[in-house]
Amino acid sequence: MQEHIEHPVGQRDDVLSLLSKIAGFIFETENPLSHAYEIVRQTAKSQDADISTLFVVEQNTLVLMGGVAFLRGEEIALPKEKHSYPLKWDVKTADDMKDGGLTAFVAVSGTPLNISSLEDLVSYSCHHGGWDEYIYPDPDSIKNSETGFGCMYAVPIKRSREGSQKDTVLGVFKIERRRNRPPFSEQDKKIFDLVAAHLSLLLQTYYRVQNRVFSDVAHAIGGGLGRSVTILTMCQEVIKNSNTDPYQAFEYLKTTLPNSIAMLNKAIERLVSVLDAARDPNKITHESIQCLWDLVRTEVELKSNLELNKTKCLISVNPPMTMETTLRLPCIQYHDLSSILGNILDNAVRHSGTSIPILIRLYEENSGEKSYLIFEVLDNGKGIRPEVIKEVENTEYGEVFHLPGTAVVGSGTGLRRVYGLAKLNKWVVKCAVYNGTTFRITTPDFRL
Amino acid sequence: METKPLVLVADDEDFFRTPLAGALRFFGYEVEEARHGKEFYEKVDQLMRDKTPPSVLIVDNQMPNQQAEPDSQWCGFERVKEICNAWKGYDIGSRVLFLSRWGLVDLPDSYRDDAAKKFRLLENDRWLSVQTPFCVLKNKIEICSSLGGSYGHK
Repeated sequence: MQEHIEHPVGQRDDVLSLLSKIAGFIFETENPLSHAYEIVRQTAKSQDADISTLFVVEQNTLVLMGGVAFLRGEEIALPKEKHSYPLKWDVKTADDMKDGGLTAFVAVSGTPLNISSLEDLVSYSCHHGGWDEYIYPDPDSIKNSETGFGCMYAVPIKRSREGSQKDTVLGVFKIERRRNRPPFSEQDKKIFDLVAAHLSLLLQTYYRVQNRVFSDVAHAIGGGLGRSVTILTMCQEVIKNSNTDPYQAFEYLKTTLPNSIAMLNKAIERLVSVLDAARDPNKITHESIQCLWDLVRTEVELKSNLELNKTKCLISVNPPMTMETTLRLPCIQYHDLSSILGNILDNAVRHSGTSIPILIRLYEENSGEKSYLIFEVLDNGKGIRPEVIKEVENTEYGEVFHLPGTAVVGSGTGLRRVYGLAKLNKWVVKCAVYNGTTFRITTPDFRL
Repeated sequence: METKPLVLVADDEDFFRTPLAGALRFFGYEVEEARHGKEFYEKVDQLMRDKTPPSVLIVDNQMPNQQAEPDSQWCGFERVKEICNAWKGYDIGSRVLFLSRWGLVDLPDSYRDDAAKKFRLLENDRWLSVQTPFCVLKNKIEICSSLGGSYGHK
């Protein structure tokens, strides 16, 4: 009798494969892993590195998400197929990873990350990393804690509920320099630390949103759809055997069949609404919105540090976001906001003194029944001449893209972009000059 | 006269429990229903006292939001473990079929203790996903029923 039983595992795999496709579709417009690698690549480029790689450790595989070597100014992409390895989770020494090479070994064992085990790493809340002593391990560079030829970071992306290594997803990125070049400085490392923190948030946001979609869809399938289908199979069996007791079969089907079809309809409606909600940024959950805000915060922090190159100023976000304000953030176009804040910060960092921090404030202001979300960037720089502001304010958005010499510092291009993007989003930018400059970006009534 | 095998169906979802019980009755089983973990425990306990133990126990392992047990999300599984413990000498665990979303993989590690293992509640055969076609479920019920109506006291 046992051999007639069909195991439902195949069915589960089919559903998971479908869910992967749905999630892939939802996120195809902006693949966070590609975005994450782009950040690693740009960082490597700005810090004059010779090679950069981003791996993702998932299940039993270490996969290269992106890698590039810089050779005499040329970028040479590393082929992904040559840098993806099967993993053995019982790896203890580099010899155990013969097929995977040193990168796979360090990614799995965490050896150069100064942690005792992968379990330790998984328990870290953000990221962990440091100088990779496996790169050119000459005694002098090992002893010097302020310089190194390569940095390696592991970023926990998804943690297993049970603490299992196999169910944990890690991002591992490395930035290296050749031995005949000067090693990276402690200052470079500070920037790598910021990049790691940023990547951690970015990738965790992606997986959280993805998990939420998976969970909602799985709930819709498992709770309603799956059970409705099982009830239909009950009806099917009763129909097959209806000649044994036609009256009882009729009585059963009379109530069960319409009910199960109604349930099926409800379940499908629920599934459709879950998918619609997942694709509608206005219905995104609180958790992912909180992450979105964290991203804005770290992105401006990161940008200012990278642009400044020498970390002198401190950026603080004040006051912290309230739950209510956070819940309303999805109305904000994150990329445009990021671009606006980035441009304003460029100016602030360039023209501010070093002793007073630049302040970014985010708060809610109510006027009558309307509610406004306000971002303010305050600095203590020399201020902007009123005629420049007037000129910038009067620029049409389209003109921003036709300005010559976009990279010239002080040409006003950045500010034009700020005003242009704000106009496009129907936000208001106001610039006030006191002992420095305060930019105030106001969104229109942002209540959902 | 041949007695019908008794199946106890415990599920908080009326829309699923009722048709399942109806289908089993159609196929000649005597069926008792329980709407939550507490009712499940009391019914099994009573049946054991009356010396009319159920041949098969079909249990939704997750029965949250019940007034009777508002805090216990996994009360189906917990109650099975309790009844197995209360009637230790009887092999109740081998008569249980759990229904869950994906099967045994759903059960958190914290529930997989020695007692659950001892009562044979962690065997793959005991777990079915809710998408399982009825013919497969019926097949499993037949296997459990074939063990006989009286439990061997150890």
